[in-house]
Amino acid sequence: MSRYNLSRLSVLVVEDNKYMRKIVHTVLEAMGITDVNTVDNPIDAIERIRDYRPDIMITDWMMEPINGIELVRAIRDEEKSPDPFLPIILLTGHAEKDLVLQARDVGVHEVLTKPISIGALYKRIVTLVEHPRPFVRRPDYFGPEPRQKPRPAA
Amino acid sequence: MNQQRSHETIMPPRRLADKVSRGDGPELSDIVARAEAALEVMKDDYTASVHEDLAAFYAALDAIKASRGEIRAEALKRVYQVSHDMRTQGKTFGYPLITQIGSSLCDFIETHGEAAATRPEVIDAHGGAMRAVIAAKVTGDGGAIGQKLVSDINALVAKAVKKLAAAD
Repeated sequence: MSRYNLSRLSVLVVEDNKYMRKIVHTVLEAMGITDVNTVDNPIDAIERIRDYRPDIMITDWMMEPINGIELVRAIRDEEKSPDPFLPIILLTGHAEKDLVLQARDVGVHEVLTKPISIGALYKRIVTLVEHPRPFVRRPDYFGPEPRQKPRPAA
Repeated sequence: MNQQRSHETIMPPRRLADKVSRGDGPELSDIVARAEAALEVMKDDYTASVHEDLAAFYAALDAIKASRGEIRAEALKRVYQVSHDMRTQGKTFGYPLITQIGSSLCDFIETHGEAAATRPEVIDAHGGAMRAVIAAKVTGDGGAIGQKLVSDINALVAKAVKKLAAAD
């Protein structure tokens, strides 16, 4: 695999579990990404995106008061979102195909299964860099052009 | 024309590639080694965090035993959330048994929904097994002790599933 200098990227991590936030932050730092911002709930995430303008958002799925899928839906709302094109990686404890499809259908770029693998997260970020997908605007969807066959969560 | 307007393809305005240079970053193996070293330092914090999680787990279990209806459903949801968090972290810190036991309980709750709250002994056994793993620092698959813990849990779940099916 090629070597990438990711140090100029900024990442927002949305995760309600403080320990998991710390794990993701630590792994990102090991990749050389030091500009990491974290929030513990999806409601604050929208405001943080507005203020901080991250290059990538990594979000958990299971959260309150809205879950990660609902957060992605809000971000892809072109009229209200501060950054509808934001590249998004969704973390989930489940790798079932229907959940991966659900994530794809709301406009998630990449899905990653917890416990997170350092290599898998790195590869997801590299994919966002090397293979940016065009966005599609349809009456029923706004988001990255879906892959023909969704990649299973790693 | 309308058809064309109903499906537009747009290139995102920002390109991550503009901020990433190639060839001068670390090798993936170095990143993994660096991350693993940093996570190793966090192991003590992890043990403390498991104790916090287990305290929340047992508080929710007590609420399940003492209540009915919505309050019990909320407490079950809390047990699920804590178990879910524990399963997502165990393997990262060398405790795959925590991940395995946490997953078993999450599966049980996902499969049986609120009926899972009628089998508090199953929840209790999972909590007890996770507590034992941490107390005895059973890392990796735990060898014979680990396998015994897992097989006991599996047997208890199988028994509870039969009782739930009979109650239907």
